[in-house]
Amino acid sequence: MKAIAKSLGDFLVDRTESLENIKIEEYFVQYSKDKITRLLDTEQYIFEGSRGIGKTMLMKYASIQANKSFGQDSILSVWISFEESIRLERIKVVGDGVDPFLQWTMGKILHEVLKSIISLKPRSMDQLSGRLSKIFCYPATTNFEQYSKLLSEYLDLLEKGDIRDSLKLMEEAPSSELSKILDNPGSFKKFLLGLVNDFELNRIVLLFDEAAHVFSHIQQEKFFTFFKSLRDPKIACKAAVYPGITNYGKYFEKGQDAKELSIEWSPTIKGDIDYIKDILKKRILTFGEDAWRKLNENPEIINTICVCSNGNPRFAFHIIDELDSSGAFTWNRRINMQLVKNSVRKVLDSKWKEFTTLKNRLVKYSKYIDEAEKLVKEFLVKNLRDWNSKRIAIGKSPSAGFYVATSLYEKIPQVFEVLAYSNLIIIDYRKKSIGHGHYGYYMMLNPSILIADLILETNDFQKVSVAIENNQAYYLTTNHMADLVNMLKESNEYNCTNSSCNFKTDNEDFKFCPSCGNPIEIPQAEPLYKILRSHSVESLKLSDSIIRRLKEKFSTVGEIYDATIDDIRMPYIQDVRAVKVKTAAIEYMAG
Amino acid sequence: MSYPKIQFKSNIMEPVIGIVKNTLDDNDFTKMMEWLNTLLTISENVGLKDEEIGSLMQEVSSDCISSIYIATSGFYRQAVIQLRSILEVTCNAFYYLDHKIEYNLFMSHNAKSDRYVSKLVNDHHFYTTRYITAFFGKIQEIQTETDSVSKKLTTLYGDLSDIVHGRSASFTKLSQITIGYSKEKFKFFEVLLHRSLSLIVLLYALRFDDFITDGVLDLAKFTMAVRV
Repeated sequence: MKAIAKSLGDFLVDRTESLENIKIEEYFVQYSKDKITRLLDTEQYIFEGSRGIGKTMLMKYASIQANKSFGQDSILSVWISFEESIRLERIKVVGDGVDPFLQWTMGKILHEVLKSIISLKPRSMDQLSGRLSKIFCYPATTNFEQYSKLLSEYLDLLEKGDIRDSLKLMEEAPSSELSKILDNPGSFKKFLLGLVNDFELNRIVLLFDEAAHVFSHIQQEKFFTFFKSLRDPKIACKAAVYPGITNYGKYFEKGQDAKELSIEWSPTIKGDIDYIKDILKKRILTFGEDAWRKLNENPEIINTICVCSNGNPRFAFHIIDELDSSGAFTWNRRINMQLVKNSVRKVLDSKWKEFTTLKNRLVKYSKYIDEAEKLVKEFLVKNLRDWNSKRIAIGKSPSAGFYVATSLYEKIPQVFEVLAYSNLIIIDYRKKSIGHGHYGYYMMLNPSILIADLILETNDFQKVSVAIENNQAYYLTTNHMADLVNMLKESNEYNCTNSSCNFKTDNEDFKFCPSCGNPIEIPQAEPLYKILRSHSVESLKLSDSIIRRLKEKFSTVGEIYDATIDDIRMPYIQDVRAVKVKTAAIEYMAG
Repeated sequence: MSYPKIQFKSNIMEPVIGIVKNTLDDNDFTKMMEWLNTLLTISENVGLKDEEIGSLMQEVSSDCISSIYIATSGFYRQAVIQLRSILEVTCNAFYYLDHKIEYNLFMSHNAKSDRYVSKLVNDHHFYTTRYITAFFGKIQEIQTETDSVSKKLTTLYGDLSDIVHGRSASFTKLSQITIGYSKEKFKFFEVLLHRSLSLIVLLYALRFDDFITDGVLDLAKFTMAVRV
């Protein structure tokens, strides 16, 4: 039977989590050695970057390199992803019961640390230890494998979330000793330091991926308080977060409790464009030389794809995938710019659809998401197109963005942050003077929007200027912006729980009523976990034929999320597709 | 504790502990421990085939452990002396494996212990092509040149002897006695250890036609005496 040929899509796998270590090393393109050094040094870092820009790739590569030289440097580097955290909202915290979120977070960290230590053990070590132990009549060292198995079972228990409350969880824990170590950040840290001592490690480096993004608001606060408490010369923590939408809580100060490290990219910097080109080259050459040759027949084609990526390799992969679907690589003629622009538009459309569905996940941001889309499509793009056409006509530098006065930004930060989170705009958070005593932030539109909407051509990006005199600026007084601010004004009201008292306030700091002393009613948001679970199976990113079959057995995302692979199996959906379905549900819940 | 004991502890033991720590911190021991494990394995295997020769190989194993430890402690020349001794004892072991009368004379009648490596090769054609053919018929297919194994043995033995006898240009010439950690010398020892254990393992692999035991193939390849 002939083996099934691989498609270009197999080489453009867009989630690093799906790549094996050997592929990560093969596909990795070195751009900033400094970042890898910082990811492995002794400092705490918040590692910022928008979705798909390469944070996971960098973290995993750094971890692989550290573990390769573990025999020399004794630096244990552990990559930890928090995708499954959302299940824990199910378990109620009751009385003196252990906090399931803390238990799970610390348990997950410890489990991954033990797995790493065990995986780094040379094959022949046990055999040699036994022999040397006999030669020297000296006892052999401890075995951590049993401990790892116990933790793994406990984590399964937490992740399935079939426990009613935290008191029941204490009963189900494999040992009370384990629960105690995992409940208290202090004792957990002590245990980690014990491991460092036993193995005489230089340090442990913990690389937290999907930190905060997948956590609920309250979990985010707990996580960063915990993150801060781990600080030690022998324990270095780095957390990858999305800028703008992370809640650090009251006790964590970015810059003070952790340094900041970010991945930035600009379509105006040739080196940045070449970096994306190198990534694409590695992947596509693995598939075949012809595809790469076709993309490079006209340099403008490959440059356009790289510029439109906006520093996000995943976006570039989608454009190339779209070109492949339209037959560009199988035709006998050259790929033309029109085809590339059409592909960019299609991928951008999908991105906007994805942006809209963010309302399901970022519930607090749902009204901002609607207005942000309108702001870009109906106001900013039109303004920029008009601005540029006038300026290019008189030979002046074009613009790729605009300034937003800090006073305006501070009124509606959520609008801009949610766009930045989705990589639709890039915000430069350095305050710049924009004249008349005002300061502002420069924001650039995603280049794919600029190219798809014919605001700029690929070659124009080298001529773009960020100077204030070459860009528009928006203030609180700008008509459209003033209307937007008024529309989005927060109108939360908090009432006194005493039905006879008429006190109301919009200030959320009030805990007790100043009139009668009774508690103020705090509206409880429905847990995100519950909301996402209730969404229809159709919300998942799967083909129509798979969705149709899944609907015969499952009606909600939550049912699939809870199901095992065996439960999911059915005619047409066997091993490979069943795993694909399960992964789609996990990714949907994790966002 | 008596003064001399305190002196020994403070002025010899403690500095050596410091040197060991520096060596451990500054070097990767993964490969060395793998090679050691392979040596221990083949020593056990030889012991299963021939108990008497197996006991000689146990000495080789013990000497190898001490050589590594001595080098880690900063006594590089002494570690190389051990390596030369390991090579000599191994060659004698494999020679006596097939020369039981000579072995009996050696053990029972206290015959002279003068079967140095070079003497074995020159006078007894030890591990020349025709010698190996007696137990490994395919040697001509895999050797890199005629008598490649015996030539490698002679060369290595010569290199080790140069160091032991102070003829090495830079390794052991001391204008004054200093004992301390030297990464360069430790790495140099590691290279010699690798060469020595590779040849020892090759002698075993050819004698018993065993290239399958864990670690044997890699070490045999490293000698560049055979193509496997």
